[in-house]
Amino acid sequence: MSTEASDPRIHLRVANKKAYVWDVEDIATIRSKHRLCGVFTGTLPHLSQQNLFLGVPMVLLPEEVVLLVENGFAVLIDDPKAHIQPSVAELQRWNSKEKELAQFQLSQLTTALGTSPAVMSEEAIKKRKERELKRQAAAAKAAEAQGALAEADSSIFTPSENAAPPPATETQYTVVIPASSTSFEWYNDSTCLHSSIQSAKEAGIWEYPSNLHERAKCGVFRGLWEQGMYMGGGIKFGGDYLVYPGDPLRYHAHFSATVLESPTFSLTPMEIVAHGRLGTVTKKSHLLCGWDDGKKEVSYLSIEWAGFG
Amino acid sequence: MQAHPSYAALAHVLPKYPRAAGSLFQAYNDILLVQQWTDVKVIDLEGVSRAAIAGKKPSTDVTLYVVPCSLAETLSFGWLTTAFTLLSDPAEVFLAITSDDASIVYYKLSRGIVKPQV
Amino acid sequence: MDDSLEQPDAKPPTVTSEGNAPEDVDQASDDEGDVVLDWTKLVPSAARPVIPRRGEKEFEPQPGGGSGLQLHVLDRSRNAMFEALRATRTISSKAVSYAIWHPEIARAHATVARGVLFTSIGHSVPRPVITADGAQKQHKRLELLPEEALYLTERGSLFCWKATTLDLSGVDDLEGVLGPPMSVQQAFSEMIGTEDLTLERYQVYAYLKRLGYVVTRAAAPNSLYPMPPPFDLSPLNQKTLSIFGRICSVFSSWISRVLRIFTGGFDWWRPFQHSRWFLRDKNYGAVFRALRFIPTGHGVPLLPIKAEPPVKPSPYHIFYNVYKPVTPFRKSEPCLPDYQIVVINARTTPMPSLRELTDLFDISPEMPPPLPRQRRPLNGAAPPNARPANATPVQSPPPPPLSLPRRILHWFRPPPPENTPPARRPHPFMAIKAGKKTVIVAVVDAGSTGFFRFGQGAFEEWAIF
Repeated sequence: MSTEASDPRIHLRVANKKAYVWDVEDIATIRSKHRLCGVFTGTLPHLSQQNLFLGVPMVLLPEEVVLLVENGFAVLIDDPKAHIQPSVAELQRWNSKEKELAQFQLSQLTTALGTSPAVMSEEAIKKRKERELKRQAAAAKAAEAQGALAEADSSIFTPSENAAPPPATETQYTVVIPASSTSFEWYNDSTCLHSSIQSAKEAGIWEYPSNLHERAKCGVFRGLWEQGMYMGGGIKFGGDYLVYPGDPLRYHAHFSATVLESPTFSLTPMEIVAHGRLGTVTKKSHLLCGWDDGKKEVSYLSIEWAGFG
Repeated sequence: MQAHPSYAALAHVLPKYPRAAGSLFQAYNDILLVQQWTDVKVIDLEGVSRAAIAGKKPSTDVTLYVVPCSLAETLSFGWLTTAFTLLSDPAEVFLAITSDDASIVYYKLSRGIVKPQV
Repeated sequence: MDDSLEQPDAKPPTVTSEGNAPEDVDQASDDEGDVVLDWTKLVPSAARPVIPRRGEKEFEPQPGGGSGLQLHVLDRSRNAMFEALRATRTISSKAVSYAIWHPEIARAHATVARGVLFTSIGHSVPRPVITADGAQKQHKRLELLPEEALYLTERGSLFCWKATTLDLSGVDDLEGVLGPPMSVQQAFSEMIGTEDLTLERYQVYAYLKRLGYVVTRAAAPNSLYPMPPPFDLSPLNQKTLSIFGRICSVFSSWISRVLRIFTGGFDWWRPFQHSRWFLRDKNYGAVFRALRFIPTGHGVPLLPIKAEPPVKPSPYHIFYNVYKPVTPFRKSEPCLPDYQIVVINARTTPMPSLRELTDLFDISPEMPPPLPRQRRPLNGAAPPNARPANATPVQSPPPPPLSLPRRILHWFRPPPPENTPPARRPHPFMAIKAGKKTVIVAVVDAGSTGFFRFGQGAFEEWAIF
């Protein structure tokens, strides 16, 4: 389990210098308590042919990771190292658990079907088969009621075998592809845990921030976060971040923000025109955030079209 | 330029900041004659090498400040904050951006995080 | 000129990004850019799933974290979202496929491949295998690239084992288990990072696959990967004329001037200009051509670079070939792709330089100019379809056998094809806007993917003046 009494910090799984969150409870905490939204990149199992609603894993922006680790809310796990090769005994235990689940489902199906008589006429056999198929379909639906959903895409690429109910005499159960590795006995993240950005950098699994621009982005992100804002990606508005006054689920963004890495970093009036214009057209203001690396401070300038001229 | 009626008000700053002279002249005329602001004054801002224009929008009583600059210039965040400081920290400053085809646009800059209107 | 656009108003623009893959969700998520996702519509999961419609957002929370009503609505939205996220990836045992992931070759060997998805995913590779009698044979097996294996696993169609050195064949209680099972988490951490796959490239792959496209690699990862035939990169507007046509074109200006005396449109003040012979360079065309001392057009090569080439290779190279769902795609012999996509990480890569764009355009084929929309003919017959990028030739009925004099005449002047639709000339502005060559760049910024199209225009080919 990722949250234990001794270590309430969230475990961020790092692979290829990106931080993933796989546990839905952790995702809930990160969003509700720490006001960080992240980005979902997984396919939702029951809505797999669209791109608006995506599911687990949640990938965090590097600035969000730095914020969480620096504030002590989370630790970084070297994920490839945490997946240790299991022993034969561990595999046997895992397999027997899977078989138990499969048997449980099959037993539910067979009790729903009832026993069939030894001798029947042709017509009666046909009618019984139809009834059995119908009951099979109903029993299969009941077995799914625990919360597992069968593969039922609404896309045209769904193979036709999913639409027809399965034949009555074949054994069929639901296979679960596990999302997170914490249910595996052989997954152990306690040995490759890093509680500071520096130690993760030294271990070679994390790089951010590595230059002035990235430090400026981290500083600006933290500054905006400390004001109580929620941040999202800004690519759709030509900025570095979108700044929301509340949870993006319910509130529109007020600003698109750009980061200027130093007070002397060159800024052309054309950029001011472009940012201001884009912001006004989309009912937002543009926020220029200047980072002073010497004083480690952020200062803000809001840009809006003047309304005249 | 010297024959223009607005020259008198700008005579003390135009030769002092030759690089900013064109945009200042254009912005001053636009503010005074096109936008028709009242109570128009010129303020010398040595720290940003130009002069700013102060005035009031027609039928209002609030003094607003306009800092002219040209599209060809390069600014920076520090430059903008210096302009604010030299004008004694008003709530908002208008940046007037001029170009050589005689068009001018105004953008409102405010210090801090200022929400857009609903 | 654009006076109406000079006053920015608060109405959001309708954004159309050309080259964007059409989505089967009918709301345009970029009406404002601020996507409104209503997860509450996903909650009744037992019911038939429906792509949800947009919800409504508010301007800002009340001071103090929001009013009671706002907090309640927010909690409801959040709980709906977390519920939807908790859904597990399950699949019937009759429909699941199995594969073994081999990290050292960065491929997943599919042992059981079920479902219609495998008609466009995976390629067959011969591998040495020790048969029962000890001999080594080449046996072809279905292998998946890392992005294909990861997509199928996280979609819930594939169960992946990791290849292991442990000998599991004889162990009781482990029938059917070919190695340690891989969770989706393990798949993400192990499969991304191999064979040139980054998270951004995987996100573009998954985005397109979810919409139904067939996505393959543009650069073969090994020699056995089936590749489409190369594009025909020759320019499109080379016209072939018959002999009679060629003779005609030499004298066409003379003949047209003579004819004009009789057909009107003739300037009696300037009846006969011998400009071609006496005043060679005094007509407008020749004067304009002489004024053009800056060479134009993309046929002019770029100046060679004097600086040394950059240390890192440019990220602007074509990575994926994309086929539309309706294109008949055969795994073993793919046809020409409908789109070619470059994948870029917005955080680390700046806009392409002219040289990078030129390199990309040099390997792209030319497209025919877009024709104006066909107007419905009056007799009610169905209008012909708009020409797709790879137009297949129309089957015409075989012509009747021709007599000899007719054949000679056809050699001089080919007959016009029968039953042609009225000639639709492309509109110059549409053609210039579409350009002759296209490069599509998928820009990924922390998970959001945007598609941008760079078109290479040909202004000098359209006489606008």
